[in-house]
Amino acid sequence: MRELEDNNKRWWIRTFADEILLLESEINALNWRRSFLDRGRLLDLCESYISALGTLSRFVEKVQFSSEGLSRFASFLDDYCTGSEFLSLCAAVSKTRESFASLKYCLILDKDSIGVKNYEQEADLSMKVQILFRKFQQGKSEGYRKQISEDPCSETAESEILEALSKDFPEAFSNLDCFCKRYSEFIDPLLLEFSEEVQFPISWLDLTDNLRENGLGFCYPSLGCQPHSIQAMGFFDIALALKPKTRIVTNNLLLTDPERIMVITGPNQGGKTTFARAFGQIHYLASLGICIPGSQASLVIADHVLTHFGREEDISELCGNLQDDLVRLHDLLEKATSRSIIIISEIFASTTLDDAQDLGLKMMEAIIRCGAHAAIVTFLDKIATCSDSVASMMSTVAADQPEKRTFKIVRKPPDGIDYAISLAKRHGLDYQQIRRRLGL
Amino acid sequence: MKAHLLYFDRDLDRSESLCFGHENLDADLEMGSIIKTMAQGDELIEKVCSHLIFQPLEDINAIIYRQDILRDTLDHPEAVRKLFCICKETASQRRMPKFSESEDSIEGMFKLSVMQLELYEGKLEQLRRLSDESIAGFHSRGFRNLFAMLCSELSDQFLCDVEDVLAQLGRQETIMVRASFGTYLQGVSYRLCLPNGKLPESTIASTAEDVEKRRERAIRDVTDSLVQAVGHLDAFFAMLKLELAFYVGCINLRDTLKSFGLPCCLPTVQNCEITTRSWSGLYDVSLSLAKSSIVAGNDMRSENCRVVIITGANQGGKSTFLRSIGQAQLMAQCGMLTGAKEFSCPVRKGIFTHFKKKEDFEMKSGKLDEELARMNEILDHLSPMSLVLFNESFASTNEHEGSIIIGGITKALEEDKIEVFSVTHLCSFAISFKDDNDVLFLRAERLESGRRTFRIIKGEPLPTAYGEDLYRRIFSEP
Repeated sequence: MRELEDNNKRWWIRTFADEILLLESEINALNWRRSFLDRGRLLDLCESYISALGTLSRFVEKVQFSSEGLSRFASFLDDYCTGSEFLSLCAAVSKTRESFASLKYCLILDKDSIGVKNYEQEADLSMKVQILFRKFQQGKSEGYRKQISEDPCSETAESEILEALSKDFPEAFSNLDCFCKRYSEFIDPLLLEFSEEVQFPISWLDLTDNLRENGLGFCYPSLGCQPHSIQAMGFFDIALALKPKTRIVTNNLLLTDPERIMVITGPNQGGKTTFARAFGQIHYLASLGICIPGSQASLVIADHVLTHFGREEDISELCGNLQDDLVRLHDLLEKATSRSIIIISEIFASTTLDDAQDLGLKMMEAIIRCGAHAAIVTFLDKIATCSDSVASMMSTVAADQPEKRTFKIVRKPPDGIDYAISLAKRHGLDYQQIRRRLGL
Repeated sequence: MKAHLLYFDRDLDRSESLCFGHENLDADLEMGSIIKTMAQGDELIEKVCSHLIFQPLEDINAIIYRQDILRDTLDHPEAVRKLFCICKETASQRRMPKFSESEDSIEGMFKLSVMQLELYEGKLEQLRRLSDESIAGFHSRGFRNLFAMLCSELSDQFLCDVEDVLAQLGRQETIMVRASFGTYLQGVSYRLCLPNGKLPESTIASTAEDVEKRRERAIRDVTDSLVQAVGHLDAFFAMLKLELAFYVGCINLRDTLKSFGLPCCLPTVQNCEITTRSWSGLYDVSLSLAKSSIVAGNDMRSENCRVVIITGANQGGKSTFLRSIGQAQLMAQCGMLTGAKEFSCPVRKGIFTHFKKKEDFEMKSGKLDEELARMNEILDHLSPMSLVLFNESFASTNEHEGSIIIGGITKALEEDKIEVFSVTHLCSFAISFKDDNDVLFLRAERLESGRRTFRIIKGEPLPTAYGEDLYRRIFSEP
């Protein structure tokens, strides 16, 4: 992965892999037994395949790979390209191509039928015109620059023309048949597998490239060095970052033993859920072995990343969902181990405050018991202080403008302030604002 | 194929910039009416002539090259007009719209360009016939080369080949193309070919659309060549037309002057080192065109005089004389006729005018400043062997200061081997040059009776400008 961060290497490997996959799909669309045109296409695709391999191996010769995977690939490529099978493929292609290269024939175009005939040095009218009138040239002059596609309009007619020509040029066409019979499946299965597998890291890096351009950092986390501590600097929610025109605020977090659980409280729309989501993301992405959002990170190796998200915006789901919440929580805790990462957001929002607090404390006990690391977003201030395993964190507002969110999540005991009013102000809907807007 | 009737070694380049101060030359020397007379309403002639007049040649051979062609032209005006006419007709009878390839179908473009070439073929035949008839009577290098080129390049064989090819292209029911194998063996590089013999039967059935597309591909290449050929011929006729336009303009001017009974001549142009200048019957062409009648001509021969100072009576023909000198010099240096019985001059490296501006007749503050600024600009472009015409320059200040200014300028120009003609009322200035042997003094003639003859004669400056005469005449005093 790190090796592919090198733009040059990534570009070459991507170009090759894309070409191989494209060739594979085109070959699958062909049936060379069907027509001479398809046989011609097979030859054409095979030429592309040879040239793609040639291009890549010329590049590979020049560079040094450090990662084990790519070094192995490079030596495989070298063996393959010098191997007898590949060399005979090349020879067959060029032999077939050459046998057609210098051939010319004539077509007679009638109203709706076509005749075929040998080329007998008939004069080219275009050349004649050019030669005749060249002498009048005074300076540069424009011709008719419009280009026309050379693909036949009727493939059936084109195939029939080739059918007729195969009798005129038996040698060339029999070379073509031999080639098709022997090499109808010319792509090496290992190269195909490589091309498919390499798509994932390449696509991920492409995605991070765009974000890096906007000044966001990615890093390779160290995993499991300190089994119970988690540290992440400058991390962010990558799903949010990918939305166009979004300003991203990065956050830091540090959990040191015995802390396992972050409880995040604070004003609505202050970035709590985003923070929790990002926390889950980095662990999940780290487990895939790819680079993660953030400037530096030291994470635990998670066996599962388990989530429970309530949908606070969806009013219809707020009623009668307590049962659903509990069922999902139960399932989640069943799977959780001390090596799991648990993300819970806005649970028990559908019940009374007292009920929610009781249930919340019970949930905390269960999570502490299982020893997993967790991030819990909640409006229940009480559970933020229930144990020394818990680190309380809050979304914050700007010091001078209480209605302005900073989207920074910091370590802070819950302060119990009602933030709804500041949200209203933000929408210009507080009393004074409304009066002013109504002109009172 | 290059006509090269204007320069022996190159085409006319209409993008070339005109000489410095051409706007002033045009206004001060009243070249406009001369150019209008040459054009006789033909826009092209007007454009070409106003371009060439303000790009004076400095190479005597180049001037003589044009003069020779002009001499032939004036001897055979009908042939040259006919040549010009043939070229003009190629535009007026044009069948193919210009620059519309994106809109037209390839088939349409193909047909139009064949038709256009058929038109050109006719014009080429006319050119050839005219060349055959004319070649014996023309003597200039330019015309002999042109006719010889037309006769050999437009040979019977060539015209026959053109006709054959166009006839072939016109026949379109069944066509034959040459093709080769493309990337996936599809037919590519279609070229329209000329069948050697009878064509075999067409046996493969296809759709009309498919065959139509193939036809388009077949004629694409030849259409490109045809459009290019049309382009070549457009350019060829356009260039020939441009070059002939100048000479047709000269015919027009000669004919007009002749109808007024005015003389004109091909001037004798000499090396720039020569210090002799002579003229006889020299007159102001634009004035005579305006008056449609004979005006007084001047005769003179000056030797070793780099500075000519003209003084004398108001409205005595001084400015007219100065203009006639300037006109003749400009026209001589573009290879044209001059308005005189005889005119002989050295080639000048740049011709400049510094005339009192008409609208500045009243003294205004800032006018001197303007005059000095104009002079300053001219100075940046002067070199030895230039010619500067001053007309009442620096009269906008008082006699004393004006004299010092123009005296200093004139002295310096003289020393830098720059030729100066100066019409002036500034007596102190004129008199201060009296002892200079290289200065020629001219004066507007005034008879004893006080009557003006509008002739310019040799004569020292007098301290009065006959303003009294004028005053008397205007106020009808005895």
